[in-house]
Amino acid sequence: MELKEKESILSVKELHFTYPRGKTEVLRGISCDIKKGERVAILGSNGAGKSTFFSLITGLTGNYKGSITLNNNEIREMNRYQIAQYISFVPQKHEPLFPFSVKDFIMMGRYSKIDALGNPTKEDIDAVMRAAEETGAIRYIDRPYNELSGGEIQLAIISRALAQETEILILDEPNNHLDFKNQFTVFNLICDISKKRNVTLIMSLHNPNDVLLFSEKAIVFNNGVVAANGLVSEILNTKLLSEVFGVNAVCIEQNGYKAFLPHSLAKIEN
Amino acid sequence: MKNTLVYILMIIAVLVLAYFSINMGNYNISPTKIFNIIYSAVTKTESPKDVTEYEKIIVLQLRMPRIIMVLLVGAGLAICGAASQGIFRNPLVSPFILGVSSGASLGAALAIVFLGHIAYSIDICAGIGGTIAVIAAFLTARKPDGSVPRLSLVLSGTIISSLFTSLTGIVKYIADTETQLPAITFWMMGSFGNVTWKTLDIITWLIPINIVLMILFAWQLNVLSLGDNEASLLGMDIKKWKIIYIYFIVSTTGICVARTGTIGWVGLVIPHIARAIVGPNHKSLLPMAALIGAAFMLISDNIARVATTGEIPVGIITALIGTPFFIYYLRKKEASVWN
Repeated sequence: MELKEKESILSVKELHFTYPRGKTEVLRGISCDIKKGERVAILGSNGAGKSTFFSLITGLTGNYKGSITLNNNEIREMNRYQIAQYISFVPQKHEPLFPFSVKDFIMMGRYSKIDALGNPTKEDIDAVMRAAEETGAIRYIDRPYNELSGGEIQLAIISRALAQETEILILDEPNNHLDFKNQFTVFNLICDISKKRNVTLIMSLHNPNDVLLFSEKAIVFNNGVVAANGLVSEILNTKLLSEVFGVNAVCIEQNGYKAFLPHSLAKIEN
Repeated sequence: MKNTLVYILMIIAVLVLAYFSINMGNYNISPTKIFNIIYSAVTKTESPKDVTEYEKIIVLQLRMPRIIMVLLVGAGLAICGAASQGIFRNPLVSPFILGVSSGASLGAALAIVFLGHIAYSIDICAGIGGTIAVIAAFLTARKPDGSVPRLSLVLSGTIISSLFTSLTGIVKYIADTETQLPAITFWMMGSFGNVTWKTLDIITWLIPINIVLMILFAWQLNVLSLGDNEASLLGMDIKKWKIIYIYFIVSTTGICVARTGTIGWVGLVIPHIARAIVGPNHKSLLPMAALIGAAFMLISDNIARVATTGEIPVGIITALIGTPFFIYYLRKKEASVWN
C-alpha cells in the first residue's frame, strides 16, 4: 500500500558522463530512482563521482548520455527557472562577497517565484520568515552575513533553500566546516523539516555513521558506478565499507544505535 | 525607514549643490538672479531689468547644460561601477579598470579620423570599442574552469587598457594635426568645458534611461553577485542578465566617454562609499551610488572650473581625490579584497 503511494520524483537511467576534455568516463551507467519524501544519502570515496552526479541532476552540467528525469521531464530540456521549481540546493561552501543581511540573503531563495524587479509579495515574505523560524536563523535575521559563525551561515543557507519551497532539497556535505554539536543540530533539523514538509532529501555524506543516523536510503558510489543502492539498514555493512573505502571496520551496536569504527586499511585486491 | 531619509537628504543636497554650481565660476551671478533667469525662461516671461543678456547666456547657455551633463555623467559612471562590481563579483573593478573607457576612447578616436562627421559615429564606435575591451579583459582573466580571479581581472583590465591606449596613440599619430588631433586630445583629458545644449541630444538621454532601468532591475545584481552556480540553482538565466547589465554598463560608459572624455576613479570609489552608507543590497546601493556620484562630479567639476583662471581637466581632480581614498580602502580591507 505504502509503496504505491510514493511516486518517483527523480529518476536516473543508464547515466554516462565524461568531462569535455577528460579522457576517462566519470560516471559509468548510473541508474537510481528517488521517490517523494525519501531521505537519501549519497555515499562514496573522494572522486567517486558524487559532485559530478550532483551537477548533472541539478542541470548545471549537460551533455550526458542516458536520462535524468525530474517529475517525468527530461532535465536537459528544462530551463533554470523550471528546474528551480523542483530543486533547491545547499552548496558545500558559500563565500559571501558582499555582506547582505540574512533576510536579504534568504529572500534570494525566492528568485524563481518573485517578479523580475524583486518586489516581494506577502507570500514571499511569509515564506522567508517561515524558513528562518524553522531553522532558527530568525534570531539573527537582520545581521549582516559576514558577522555570522560557520554554524549560523549554514543555517542561513538552508533557510534560503527552504524559502525556495521545492519538493527536492539537495545538500552537498551539509556537515562540512561544522563542529560536533552543530553537525548534529543541522542534521536533526533538516530531517525534521523534511518530514514536516514532505521534502525529498538528497545529501552527499562522507561519514557512514551520519548515514546510519539520518537517512533511510543510501546510494553508494564507487568508481563511477553504483556499488549499492537501497535501505540503509540492509546495504550498509562492514563488507561494503571495505570494498568502497578500503577500510576495515567493526560494527558496534548499543541501545538500538549502530556505528562503524574503522581500525585498519583493507588490502587492495586487483 | 532610515534609508528613505538618507535618500531625501541626498537628493536635496545634490539639488542645492547644483544650484550653487550655477552661481560659481569666473563670472559670479547671485543666486536670486539665477532663480529669476531660470524662472522667466521656464515660464517664458520677461526677466527682471537688472539681469543682463550676458548673464542670461552664461546661466542658460553655458552653465545649465554643463551642470546637467555633470550630474548625468557622475551618476552614470558611479552606478556603472556599482553594477560591474556586482556582476564580476569583484570590489576592485570599475568600467575604467575593465578597459571600457580606453576601448571607448579608441573607438571615438577612430571615428574622428576615419568616419568624419557621420552623425553619431563617435558614440557608436565608442560603444563598440568599450564592449570589445571589457570582453577582452574578461576572457584574458578567465581560467579554463570558468572562474575569474579578482586580481587577474584587474590586471587583465590594465593590460587591455594599455593596449587600447597605445592603439589610440597610433591613431593620434596619423590624425590631422589641425583638426582631428585636438579633438582626440580632448577625449583623453576628460572635460565638461565644451558641453552645450547640443551635447545633450537624444543619445545623451540614454544615460538617465539606463540609470533608471539599472535601478529597477537591481535585484538581479544581488542574485548575480552570489556567483554563477548559486544564481543558476536559484533559477536565474545568468547569461541573459549578464548580457543585459553589460549592455547597460558599456552603453552608459561609452556615451559618457564619447561626450566628456575619460574621467576615472568615480566608478571605483563611489560604490564603496555608497555601500558603507546603505549596505550591499543593490536595490538601495544603486540609487545611492548615482546620487553620490552626481554630487562628487559636481564638486570635482566646480574645482576644475574655479581653482585656476583657466580650466583643469576634471579627470585630474577625480583622480586626485579618488586615489588616496582607494589606497585607504585597500589597506583597511586588504585580506578580504585580494583573495
